[in-house]
Amino acid sequence: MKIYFFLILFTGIGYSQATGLSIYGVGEKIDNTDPTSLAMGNSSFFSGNSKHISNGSSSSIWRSALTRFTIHSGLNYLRMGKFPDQHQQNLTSFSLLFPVGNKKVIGLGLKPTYRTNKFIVTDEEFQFIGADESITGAPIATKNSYKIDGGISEMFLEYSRKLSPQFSGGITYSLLFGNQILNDELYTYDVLIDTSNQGGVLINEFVDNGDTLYATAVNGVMTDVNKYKKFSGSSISAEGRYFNKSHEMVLNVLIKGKTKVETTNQITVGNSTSTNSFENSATNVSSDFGFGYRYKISNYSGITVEIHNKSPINIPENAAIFNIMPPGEKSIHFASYYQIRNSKIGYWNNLNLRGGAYLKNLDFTDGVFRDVGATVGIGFEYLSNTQSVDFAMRVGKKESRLLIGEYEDYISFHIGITTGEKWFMKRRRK
Amino acid sequence: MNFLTPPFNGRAVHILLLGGLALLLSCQSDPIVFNPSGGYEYNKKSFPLNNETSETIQGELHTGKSSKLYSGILSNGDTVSTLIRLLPEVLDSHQICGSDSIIDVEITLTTINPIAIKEDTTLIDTLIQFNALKTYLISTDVFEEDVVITNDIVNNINGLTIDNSIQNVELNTNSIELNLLLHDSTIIKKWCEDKENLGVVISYAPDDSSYLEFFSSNSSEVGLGPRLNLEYSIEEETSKIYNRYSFNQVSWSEGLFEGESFGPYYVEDSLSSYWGTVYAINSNENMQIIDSPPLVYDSITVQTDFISAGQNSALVTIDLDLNPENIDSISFSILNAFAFKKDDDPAGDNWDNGANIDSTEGDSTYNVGELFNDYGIDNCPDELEDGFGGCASSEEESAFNSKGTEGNGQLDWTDENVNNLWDEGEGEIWWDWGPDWCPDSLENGVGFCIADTSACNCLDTPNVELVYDPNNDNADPTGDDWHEINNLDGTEGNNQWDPGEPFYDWGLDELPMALVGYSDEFEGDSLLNWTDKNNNGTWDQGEGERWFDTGMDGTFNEDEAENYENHTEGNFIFNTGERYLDCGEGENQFNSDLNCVEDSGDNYNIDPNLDNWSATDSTSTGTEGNGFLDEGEEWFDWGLDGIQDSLEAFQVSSVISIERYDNSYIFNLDDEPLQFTPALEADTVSLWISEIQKVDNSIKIEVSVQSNINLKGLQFQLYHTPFTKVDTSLETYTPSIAQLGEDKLFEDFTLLPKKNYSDDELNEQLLIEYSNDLSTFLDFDSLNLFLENEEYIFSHQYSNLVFYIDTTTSDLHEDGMWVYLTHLDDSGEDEILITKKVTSLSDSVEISMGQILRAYQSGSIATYNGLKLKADDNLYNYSKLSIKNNPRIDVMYSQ
Repeated sequence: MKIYFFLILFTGIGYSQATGLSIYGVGEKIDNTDPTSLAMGNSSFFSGNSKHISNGSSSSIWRSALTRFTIHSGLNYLRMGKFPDQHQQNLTSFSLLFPVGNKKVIGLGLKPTYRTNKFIVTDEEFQFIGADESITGAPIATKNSYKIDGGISEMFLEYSRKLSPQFSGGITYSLLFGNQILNDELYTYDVLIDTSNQGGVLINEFVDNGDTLYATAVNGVMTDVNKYKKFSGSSISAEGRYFNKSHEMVLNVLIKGKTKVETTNQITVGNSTSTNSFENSATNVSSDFGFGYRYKISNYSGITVEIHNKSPINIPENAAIFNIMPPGEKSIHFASYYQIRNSKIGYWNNLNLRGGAYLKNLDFTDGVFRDVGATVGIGFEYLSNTQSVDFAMRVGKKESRLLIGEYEDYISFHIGITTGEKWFMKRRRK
Repeated sequence: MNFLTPPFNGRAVHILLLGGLALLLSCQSDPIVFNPSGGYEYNKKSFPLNNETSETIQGELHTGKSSKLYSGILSNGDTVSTLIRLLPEVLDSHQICGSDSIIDVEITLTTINPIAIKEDTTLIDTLIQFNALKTYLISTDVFEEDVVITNDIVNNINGLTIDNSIQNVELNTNSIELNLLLHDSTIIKKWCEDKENLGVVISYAPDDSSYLEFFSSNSSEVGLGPRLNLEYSIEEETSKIYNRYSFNQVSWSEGLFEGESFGPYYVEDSLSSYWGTVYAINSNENMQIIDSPPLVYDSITVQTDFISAGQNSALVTIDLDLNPENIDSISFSILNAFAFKKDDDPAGDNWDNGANIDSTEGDSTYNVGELFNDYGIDNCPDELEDGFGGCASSEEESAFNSKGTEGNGQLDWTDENVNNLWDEGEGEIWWDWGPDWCPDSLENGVGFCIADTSACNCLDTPNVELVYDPNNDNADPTGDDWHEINNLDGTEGNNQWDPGEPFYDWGLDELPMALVGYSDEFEGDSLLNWTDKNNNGTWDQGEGERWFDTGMDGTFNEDEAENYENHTEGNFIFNTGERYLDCGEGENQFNSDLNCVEDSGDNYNIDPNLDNWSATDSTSTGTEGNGFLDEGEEWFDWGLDGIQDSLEAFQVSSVISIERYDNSYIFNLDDEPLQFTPALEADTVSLWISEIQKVDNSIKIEVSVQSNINLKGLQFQLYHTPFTKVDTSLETYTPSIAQLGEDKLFEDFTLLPKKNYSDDELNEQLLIEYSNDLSTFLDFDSLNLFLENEEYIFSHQYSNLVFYIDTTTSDLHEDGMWVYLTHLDDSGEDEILITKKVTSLSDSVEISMGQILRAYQSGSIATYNGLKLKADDNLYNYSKLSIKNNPRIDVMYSQ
């Protein structure tokens, strides 16, 4: 089994991808990678497993006295009318939780927060600057191509403890870091319109007053712009959880510090390269709020609901891809779970079935875009519930910010593996 | 803990996981091709000149450090001369100051442009007014090249030139040479001992506005500045190689070829690598001494055998004059020896009725491939044909003339006045009447025709009811071309838009909706929206909607008629098929009836006897040059190799080597005559020195030969070991020097006082002059603030410094002027950012600024603190550029 941990870990690092055609902000926001929560309507606070531990919820992780190593990965398939086949592999995240006392756990880990997907976007058509707007007094044609890669990752340190028989809490401190590389090629041309093709790049052939005219792009110059953006920031969250026999409620508050972006622009024209660097910071501090509720129908089943209000990441405007600032998110998540327990003593202990749905509003500065989806999942817990393998599938439809009026249909598969070890448990000497 | 417990260690699970992993990594997304919103958008911004802070600055420098020198009358009318001063303190270290004799002292000045035409060493023509060139040798004050030349300096130097004219001036193609030694025989003493500061003044006073331009001592072109050419001798000890003898005579040995006048031949020139080569051969040469070795054998015809088989005898006797030096012995040897064997048919191509019946040489039959003169039945080449079927003895006496212009089938016309029409004195006459050879006024209207020997569809008298172009051959088919005299009402090409002329109704963006997907304000309004911004009467980019000056018919000439290629009348071009008189290009070549006047010498005639065969004429019956042997043509029965037996004797195939045995002959001069008798091998050709004896101050060497076969000839080289001796002799040196070590030998100046401009003169003027050190400081409003934005991406292509030239006050040489855009670097020095050549025809200049702006933005050059335009000495030093007060920097940028 260890070999699969590391295979997933290393390939995930080497082929780090994100979901969706999120060519805005700093890329796709990746909320949660834990398939147990993902299967619960893409939520964060609840997992539907035997211990009700969700890796995305710091107030729940005290529930295991084992040292837990968790790794998640997944695969995403997206289609949109114009771009029918988009495959992505989700970035692997991992975390290590270990007990530091009775009902006290410290965790640390690494996970993606925002990610672009090695996008290569090429202008489909030439754009024009008319003679009346052109600096030369003659029409100019332009055409660009863009390559975008990288994003922001999060290294987190969390502490969780049970505060009383019905209360627990957790805090998480995260360091945000990462690089994004934008390699843009900007082509500019003079426009030549003639009754014969005079060479150069043929832009279009059209008929005007009965004459066939050829518009060609000549005297092309390519400007190669490499933008290296280095992000740094931090956030802190606090989470409280109340639980009794039938009810469980979670409240989470996250404060985001301002994000600093160091940008290095390397511009090459012909053999000439120049480089300049500058630094920008967002000025605001923002916060996210989340609330979750679980109703325990029986010992083996329950339903959950979560609502989240997340503010956009604080980045300076110049750091946003295509100058589109990242959206805020308001979402609601419904889910239910059912656990089938193996009454016999055997290899496996629990079979967890999960299902849910969610609705998200992505609030951009120029409008709200909706994302709806449904999730199902299954998980196995075995070896006295110390190990688990979980699968989740998410199917959704999202209004595209890339092509206004179109929808992105996506389906994603996720896998998570958790192992529990008794490394730091105190043992009574005989 | 053991993870590898069922079910995870099963083979199926392994395969499934690994396969899934591979699948997961192999997915390839479709490319995203569309125009995203929020991509790069281009903006433009112009930064006007701040006239308050921009100004012309005059520096402290003058032209002393220029790479060029001037003498003559400059374009602005100033008269200048050149001063070249030799620095005696530099020359002092040169060898000439200790020389034993001075032979020649010259100064060479290299001109930038040719000043004379020479063939070999003979002056054919001068390209300057040589009589206006005066040179003077004067004693000068000492001043260095950073001096600012003043009127006092110039007047002082001009005063010193009286009665000091140097007469010995020689013109070369690109230089003048002044012989100073002939002018002053003590010139070297004055420099070396007296340390006199002497200068040469070159004055050029032509009767037109012209000048000489020389490379100065500051020129970067190595060796092109002033040079001192010296010839002098110094007594020196040198080690030299001497031959121990020289050739006096080579003769056939006694009893051999008595009474014959040929050979033996030999190379006497001791400097030649063939020195001592003896040719024992009969080459029909009269002179024994071969001046231009080696001897070429190809043309030697050998009749008889030279040496018989079994012959053993002395061959040649060589008389050598001994070097008078004290020589006690000589070591001889024979090198490069080979012989040519006898062979009646060296190439093996002789016909023999019995043994060699298929061979071709001497078979008395012409075989295809054998050499023949394809001169036709007159058996005479064109160059010698006399025009009467006979053959002249030389081309001068023949009727052949390939350079004649009369009857050469082509128009010999030079458009001297470039009016595109024939004028008297321009060669052969032609008429721009099109293919019918008929002017419009005589065309009968039957229609288009092609004239052959006379005009077609053409009247004898003009048609009184003249219509336009009756025969449809005019270059302007509808007659709508505007002409300043003939057709003022014409609308095609009248440089103005007339109703009916087509235009692109695309609006001011000059882009149609079909291309960009939207229409702008004036697009499709059926009105021409055009502003002739530069008042040139034609559409230029940036002036709005494009229109075409087709005339009101809406079509250019080319589209006004079918088969327009036939419409050549009145197009001011001589077209094939138009009428001309092939009477030759001289004057008075035709009479009033337009018939050629018979004169001699200009008739084109490359086949006087009319026997040439023509590949393009299928009916040609000519026999000269047809590639076949015709009756009467001479042929040579030499076989297919085309070489006769007598010339085959000395081909490579006939060469055999010669046995030379020990080949070392050491002769002590004090010895008695020495004889050598090697043990000869009977079946070889052997060559050896058979006797050496000293007779008075000469040595007589006899070379003997033995051969087992008949030989046509042989050759060998007599070699010896020379000796080396240290001599004290007068060595002659001819250096040409411009500097010694790092020190320049000359300082040179163009003698023209610097003009110091007053503040009033410079006020509100932007001037650039190299000669008076004028540069222009340009400060652009708010450019510094703009450059502080580090996110801007400047377009290289479309970011320019633009300025307009005040052509009324500028004075630019026809070669143009290099302008340098500079700024002050951190050390306060001018740093060149970019260079631009401004031509004399320019009225505006664009200098690419994208890279410079990026450099400012990135901080790789210092903070923007204004720019400077300046000139240098690369081209004509006295160009003057005056800029109008509206320079600007246009920037296209994105972010």
